[in-house]
Amino acid sequence: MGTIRVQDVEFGPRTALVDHALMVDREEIRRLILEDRHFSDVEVHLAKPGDSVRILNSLDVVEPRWKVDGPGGVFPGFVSPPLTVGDGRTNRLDGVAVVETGPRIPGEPIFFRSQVIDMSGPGTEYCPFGRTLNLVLDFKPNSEFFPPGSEVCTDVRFGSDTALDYNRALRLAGLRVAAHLGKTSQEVSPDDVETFELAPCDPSLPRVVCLYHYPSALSRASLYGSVIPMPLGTLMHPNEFYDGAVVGWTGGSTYSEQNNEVLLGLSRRHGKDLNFLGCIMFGDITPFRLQKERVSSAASKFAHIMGAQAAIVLGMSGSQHSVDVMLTVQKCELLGIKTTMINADNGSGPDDTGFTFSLPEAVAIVCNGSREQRVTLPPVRNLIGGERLLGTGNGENLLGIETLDHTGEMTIPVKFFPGATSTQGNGRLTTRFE
Amino acid sequence: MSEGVLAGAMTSATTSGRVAPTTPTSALRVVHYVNQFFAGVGAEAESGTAPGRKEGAVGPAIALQRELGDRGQVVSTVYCGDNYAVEMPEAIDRIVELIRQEKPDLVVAGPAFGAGRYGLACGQICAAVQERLGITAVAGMHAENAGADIYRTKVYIASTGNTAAGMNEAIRAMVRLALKLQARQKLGSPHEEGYLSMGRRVHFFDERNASDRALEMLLHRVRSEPFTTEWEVPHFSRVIPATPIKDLSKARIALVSTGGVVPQGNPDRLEPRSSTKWLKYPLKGLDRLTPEGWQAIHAGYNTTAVNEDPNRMVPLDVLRALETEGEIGSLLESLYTTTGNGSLIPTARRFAQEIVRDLKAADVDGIILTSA
Repeated sequence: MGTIRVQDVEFGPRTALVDHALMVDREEIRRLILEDRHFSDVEVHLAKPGDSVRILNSLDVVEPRWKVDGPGGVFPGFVSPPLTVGDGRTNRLDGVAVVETGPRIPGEPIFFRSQVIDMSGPGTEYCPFGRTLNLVLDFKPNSEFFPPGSEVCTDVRFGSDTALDYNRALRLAGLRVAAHLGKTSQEVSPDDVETFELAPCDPSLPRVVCLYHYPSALSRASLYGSVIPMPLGTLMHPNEFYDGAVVGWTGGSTYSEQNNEVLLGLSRRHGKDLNFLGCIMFGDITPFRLQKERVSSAASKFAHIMGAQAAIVLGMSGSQHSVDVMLTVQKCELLGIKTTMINADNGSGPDDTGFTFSLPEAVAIVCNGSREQRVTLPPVRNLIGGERLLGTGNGENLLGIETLDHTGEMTIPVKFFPGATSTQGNGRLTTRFE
Repeated sequence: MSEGVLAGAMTSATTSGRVAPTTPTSALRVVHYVNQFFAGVGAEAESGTAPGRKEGAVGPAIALQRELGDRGQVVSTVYCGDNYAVEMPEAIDRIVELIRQEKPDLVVAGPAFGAGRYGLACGQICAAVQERLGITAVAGMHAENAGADIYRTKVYIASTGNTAAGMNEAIRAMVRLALKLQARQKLGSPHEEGYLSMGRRVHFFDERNASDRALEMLLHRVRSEPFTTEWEVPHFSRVIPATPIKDLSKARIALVSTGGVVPQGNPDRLEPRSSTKWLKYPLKGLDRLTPEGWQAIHAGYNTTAVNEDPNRMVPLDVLRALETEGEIGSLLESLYTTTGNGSLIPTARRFAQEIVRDLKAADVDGIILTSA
């Protein structure tokens, strides 16, 4: 992985990387996006750390990367063919992010849409994208793609067919822009190059897997371009993440998968402290208990067959799917696989334990913050991404915020900051319980 | 207390005498609350004993005095029967009054170990002493004691074992905690200080990422080195199931649901998640629930199917058929309804206690409880 530490981004006559400054041809980006008729227009903004700007309702955040050498390309299944990636050389523009946002569309699924990225003030401590140089894409839908009736949404998880189709187009557009920006690094010498390889190592080192609960069908995240249920689990090499094989969506982000700190940490320690066997991604929508038993049995079995002695367990900390994660921890422990979980606190008030579900076998937990912790943000000058937070489709109460002027002071829960309590352990926010 | 608890208790809490107070005047005045058994009044048969007091240290208070040394003087041992304490409305007032009269600097209650009624009493007394008298109060009990569930957020409770075999350790833990609190010293984490988590959240930014901390913790585990979890999973007390109904054809059955089914328009504004109330609606004259008359407002599941036919969540149609056919004795003419979807455990417990009281008053033998 070659890293170029970009110091600034500005609009200019062409898109190029010159001396650690990224110049972006705004019209070129617009034209690139508007090749897809799903969009009637797109506003392209720059939002930099220190700006008095608040970005609302972001859908995904992507780091510009480009495969300079080796098979395949970045974002396989979207920008590149869905061939296995993770080999060769990929460059990344460190400090830059592409942020996708846009209004609510007819038939949109009922997912979590309230996201706030402040580019200055206390919000930047919580949200990592308040500290990146952001190219913000505010997509405007083409109403031709939404004929009468397309607002009817019988599947609240996925949305109507037209909404599904539109959201995929939006995601693809954002990834294309990120790849396009990444490509400016093709001829540039990176500031540093790090080699990620899981070479054969000392057999006495402890064998560790990452068990990553990832019900992509729930979150609409994709693997190699497919939103795919993984009830029995699949094995991933960490490098696949670094090349954008896992594309996130609301509730997570592609950026946090590209920069998955748990996988990076395991990769860097491979051959030194541990033997990193790989990442088992698993999960599905499991409304029935027996389905949860199956998913957790399959995941723990997978780790066991691979010979894992220990597992870092990542996954949803809220909703009924936290049951799947806890069952997986339990079954690993019963198989003699020592676990450590990263878990977010979903509670508020002294009577709320913060766990949606727990089992006694979860003896080693790292807390990556409280999603209901309140943070007060100061007023800002400008908004990008709409006039107000969108909330969820069923009219969920936005804590009274929805009627306020969103440029003003607002008090929001930590869960509104994308990346604040990331599943991948990418932050330093934490909570202790006394 | 049951016989099994006796074994450990006797060695450390002799009832042969009391410790006469001869300690310096700078020592704290301490009152120890215990139940009828530990006060030497009697066992389970005497659990209806009214509140009383004995001069100086009696029973486990002797061990308490020993642990306190010259830092404190147990001026009185206040006691009450376990049943009296939790059933009689005036019990807590009377106990607090007995305590107040001693003008203590510190109140210690228990240790109750795994005994539920005793734990509830200890928790309630400490909470009342704190609130009404402004005196530092510390209880001791096992993490799974029902009293811990309810009072851990209000009162500092030293974490003890489940039986009185752990009496000495328990007393030590309670004294350590009590003296620190009384002296207004800053406490460490529940794990460090040996108390049950009070549910207080402290938010901050650690020096290291969660991922780094997780990898470190995992490596400690793999190497069998000591580690400390950042977050302990909760302990839950056990509920003993009711005995099965012997003859359903003679039984009165009631319908209870946490699926958020309410009359059309939700006239009493039942919340879509973590309800703060339960509601009761008449079923008299109804053979089934109609989509025109009823709706589901629960926000944790797709309510389309239930809104089409509310009997899918509240099976009134089936229960009426069973009633007509004589399979059940009768159906209660009221529906009890609320929304779960993230209920807090103390709230759920309160709902259950209130609804059961109502059900018992109506001679209900069993319920059909539906949830989402």
